[in-house]
Amino acid sequence: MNFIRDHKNKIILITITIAMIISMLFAGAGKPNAGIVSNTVGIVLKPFQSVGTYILNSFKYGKDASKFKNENTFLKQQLITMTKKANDYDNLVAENEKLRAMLELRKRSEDYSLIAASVIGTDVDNWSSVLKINKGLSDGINKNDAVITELGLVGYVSEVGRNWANITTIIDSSTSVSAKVDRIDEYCMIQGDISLFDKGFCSMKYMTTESAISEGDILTTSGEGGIYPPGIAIGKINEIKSNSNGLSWDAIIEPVVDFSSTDEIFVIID
Amino acid sequence: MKKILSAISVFFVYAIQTSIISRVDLFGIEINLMLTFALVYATNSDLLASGIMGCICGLLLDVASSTVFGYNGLIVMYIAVLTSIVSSKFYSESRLVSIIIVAVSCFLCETVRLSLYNTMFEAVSVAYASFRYILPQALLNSVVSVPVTAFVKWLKNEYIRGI
Repeated sequence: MNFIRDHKNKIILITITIAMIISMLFAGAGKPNAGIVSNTVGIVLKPFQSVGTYILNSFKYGKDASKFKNENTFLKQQLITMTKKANDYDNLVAENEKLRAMLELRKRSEDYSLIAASVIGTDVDNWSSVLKINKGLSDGINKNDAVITELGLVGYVSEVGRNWANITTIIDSSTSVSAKVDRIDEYCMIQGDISLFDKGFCSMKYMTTESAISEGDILTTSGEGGIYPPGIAIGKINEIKSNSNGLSWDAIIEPVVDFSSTDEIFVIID
Repeated sequence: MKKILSAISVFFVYAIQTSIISRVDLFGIEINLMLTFALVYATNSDLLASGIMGCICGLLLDVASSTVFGYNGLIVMYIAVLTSIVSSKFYSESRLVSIIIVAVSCFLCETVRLSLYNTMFEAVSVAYASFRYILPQALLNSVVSVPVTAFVKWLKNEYIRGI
């Protein structure tokens, strides 16, 4: 008893250490959803994070009020043009379906099933890019679902709780995306790069010198890998430079999505 | 009641960190308010209280970052314990000493976290990240530690005797 009393602090810290190691081993077993503690903390903190994001957005929108008003007017004009184009598109699709049915061809693609969500928080590291959203399992979101905005690819669902989820973006150092250069139909791999992190860019490494890529080429998801559907815009090649070994090329990719100001996203659930 | 208020203050800091502070950066460097809070608390607390608060703050960082649960909890707990030990030897209510201890502890903690992260993903140059992100962040956190110290002292004097 005296031993326990004399070393109480050390015993408690060692007990906590063992509990943490067990938690890490258990968590590392590839569970599909957030553990009970993560889930509970996420549920409890979600209202506070939503309030914090609301306050931040209020300052942001108040400062840029006149800019948003002009942008709103411009977007309304665009909307009229796009509505007409959408109607023309619908007519063309209907005609296409009719012709395909006549030729007995299968449908090439389906529309995505999307769930809209708001970003309520971000992570705290300078070398990772994780967004927290206000929807989760109860809304139909699952781990590894792809996440997009109206502009293009954001990332994938890395952790999901009951009513929240974490999205790891494509500029995170641990992420890689199988992509395709549309112009030349060439496949490549895009990954996060810490040296480009503050600019919000990512990189494409080890392209062969025979590759026909050029600056300005648009990259889309290839559909390989099983997470991201094909054809989603990723970004464009911003710069190409020779690798330090001189045997291959590296490219800097500018994503179409600005992750620092992303407020609304869509999760592809089907 | 005291423990509930202490827990609320941690969640309050976490909510501010993930919803407001993480959206704001200085030349690409984000403040880590959770880590700063844990280390400032450690400079003003005994070994056990420092360790437990460090563990709680680290676990909240795990929840925010989608890392393996317990990873940050373990690292921040031991850095907080180390900070508490160093503070008990050198800290004499001097603000400058407190700032230096927080800066060094932040640098050490982030270096350990990044090194282990790199071991798992092999995606980050530790040397580059140390000079580009970790060192500036440690300095920024040490500046932020001044108001955080005032908050922690108020918390401890008004409501807490240990955790």
